[in-house]
Amino acid sequence: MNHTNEKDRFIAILRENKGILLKVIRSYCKNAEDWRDLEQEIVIQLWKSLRSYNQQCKLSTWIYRVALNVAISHYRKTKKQSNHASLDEAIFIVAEDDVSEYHSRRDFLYNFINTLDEMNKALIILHLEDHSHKEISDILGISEGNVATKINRIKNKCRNAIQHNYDYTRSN
Amino acid sequence: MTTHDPTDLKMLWAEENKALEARLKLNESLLRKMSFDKAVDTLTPLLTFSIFGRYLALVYCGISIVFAIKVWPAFLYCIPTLVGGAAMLWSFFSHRSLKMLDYSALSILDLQKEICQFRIHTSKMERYDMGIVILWLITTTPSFLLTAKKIAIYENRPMLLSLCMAGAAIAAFVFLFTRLIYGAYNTKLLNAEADLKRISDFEQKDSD
Repeated sequence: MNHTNEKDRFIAILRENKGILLKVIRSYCKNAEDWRDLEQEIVIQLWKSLRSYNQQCKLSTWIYRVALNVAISHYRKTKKQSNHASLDEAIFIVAEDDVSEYHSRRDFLYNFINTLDEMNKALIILHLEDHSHKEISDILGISEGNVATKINRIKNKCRNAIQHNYDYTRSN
Repeated sequence: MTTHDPTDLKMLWAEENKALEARLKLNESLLRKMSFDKAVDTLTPLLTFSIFGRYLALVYCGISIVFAIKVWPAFLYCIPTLVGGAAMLWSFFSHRSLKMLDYSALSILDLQKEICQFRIHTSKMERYDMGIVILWLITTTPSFLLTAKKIAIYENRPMLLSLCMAGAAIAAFVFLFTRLIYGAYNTKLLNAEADLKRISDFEQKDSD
């Protein structure tokens, strides 16, 4: 496969999975400045890993594995130590929506995900994407029992957050 | 969010998926302009540099052996040179755990553990590596001067004095900045160890 074809194939993969990538980026970015660094880092790592992609594994599973691994490493860095110049433009461009009710629900979702640590973030994203416990255990590298326990724990935390949010809304 | 049911979260996520489909656009013209093969991620240069440094230690060891053979049987020159070479060989073997990481082949936990272990390893070894380079320079310089410049440094008092002063200056520098240097290493080490502990806790908390 020549370089242009390879790039076309890669862009097609990104186009097909842009939603997955954006949700990972959005869940792991601490601020807007992080956004471009992280999206660039994920895209570069996906490109580098593409040649070793094993067709037996589902493409979306492979993308999650690479994207979450890069996002967790990026998230953990206490200082920004980018060794490449950030792009002036963004790779994933999201148009703003003007439905305020949806906006606040979406903000609640991302705010809740942001309260979790980096490993639990990965776990809840995979759960919300409807991956089975077996798939989550393969991607994360923990037992299926552990996946179930942790998901229950996160659900309880979510229940408390919803209750808190509900009480707060009523009191105002 | 008005209900108390966390399963709503999954519905909201699905709703977000649909909404994103319409609002999200990939900047393809930018992607076509990017030269991916030249692009570098954050960790790869660090790993490449460390692995390169490991093989460089083997080259330095080889240089020491060549100089030691050339100055043989002048023990005053060849024994310190061999000590410097042995230190480099030790450095080469102590870094044998370094390897490139495959983001797509390892599970998230395994890859994150490898990254933490790499950070712990480099933070622990940096202090020894610095000492080994200084030792190698001090022990190899007399043999180098004898072989390449025909200067027998132990019979040339001004040169010997200069070498001793350079050695003392480096030692003083290291001594004076030890706390600062070790402080930085220790901070990196503690951070990496804390990260590794959190990963292990995440892995092990099966039933609590």
